[in-house]
Amino acid sequence: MERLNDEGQWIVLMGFIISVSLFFLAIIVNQSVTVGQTTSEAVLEFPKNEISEVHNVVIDLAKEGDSFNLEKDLSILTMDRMNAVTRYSIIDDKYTDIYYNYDEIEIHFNNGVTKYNETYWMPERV
Amino acid sequence: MVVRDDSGELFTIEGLVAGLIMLSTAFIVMGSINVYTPGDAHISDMQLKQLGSDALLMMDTPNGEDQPSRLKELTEMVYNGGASANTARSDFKTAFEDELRRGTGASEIVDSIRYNATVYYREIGTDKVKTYQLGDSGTDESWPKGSEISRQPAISTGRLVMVEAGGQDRIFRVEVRLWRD
Repeated sequence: MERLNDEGQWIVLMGFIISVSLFFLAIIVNQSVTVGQTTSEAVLEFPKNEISEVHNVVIDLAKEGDSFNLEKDLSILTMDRMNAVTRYSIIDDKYTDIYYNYDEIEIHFNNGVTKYNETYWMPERV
Repeated sequence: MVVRDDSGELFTIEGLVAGLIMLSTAFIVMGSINVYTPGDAHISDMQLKQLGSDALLMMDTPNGEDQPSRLKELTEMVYNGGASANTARSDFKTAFEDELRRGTGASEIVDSIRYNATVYYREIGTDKVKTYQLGDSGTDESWPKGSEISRQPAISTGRLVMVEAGGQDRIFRVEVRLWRD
């Protein structure tokens, strides 16, 4: 210190307190750099886009007609490009009520990490 | 402040400077032990993948009922080969880059995305997966520079499209590989 007296101790104390609190704020700023990493990893890991691709195309098949060729296209393309086993089945008019016929669509998707099974009843006006 | 006189000015300065010195020392020490792994790249990878898949989804959305989507038309043109394949490649480039460049207008989008697009299909008979080129961003490179020796910074995303090829309904997959320059 400049000279030996005890004036201004409040001021030193204030400076000290502010420094300490600034330090903790700085740690928080430091942490914020990596915010979102875990989320992004989880998003990339889960094959959201692949599943919705398969879902869309199977719904189209149910609407426009299925064939052996298309089934083979889908299973070989998904195995080769998405490393996933894909199977589906479409049963026309499985359920019916007075307004609609329902096609039952089953989709199975498994890429070794994520297993996704879906049963979907697609309504069609009687 | 509690004190009413100004006799502590030097103390204030000393306290402040000492605090700042302690603060920066501690901050540098804490900061220097942070190791940035390539895992951090997941954040931008996710954004790139979502952007590409959104762009393909937009192109695969038909303008009206009983109309083919643009992506379906282009895929069929590539399948037909010849001059129509060349048209398809330049049309795809225009349309896809147009989608990628779409923004809210709130911020300037840095035009640094490169891509390479391919159509994958099953060859009837052999059941092998074969490809047609659907063009690239025109930088004469199909892979990111330097990726032969380091982490692969490209992201692949795609879309299954139902097309009419060779007189029958088929499923093809349009796939884009995206990376930033």
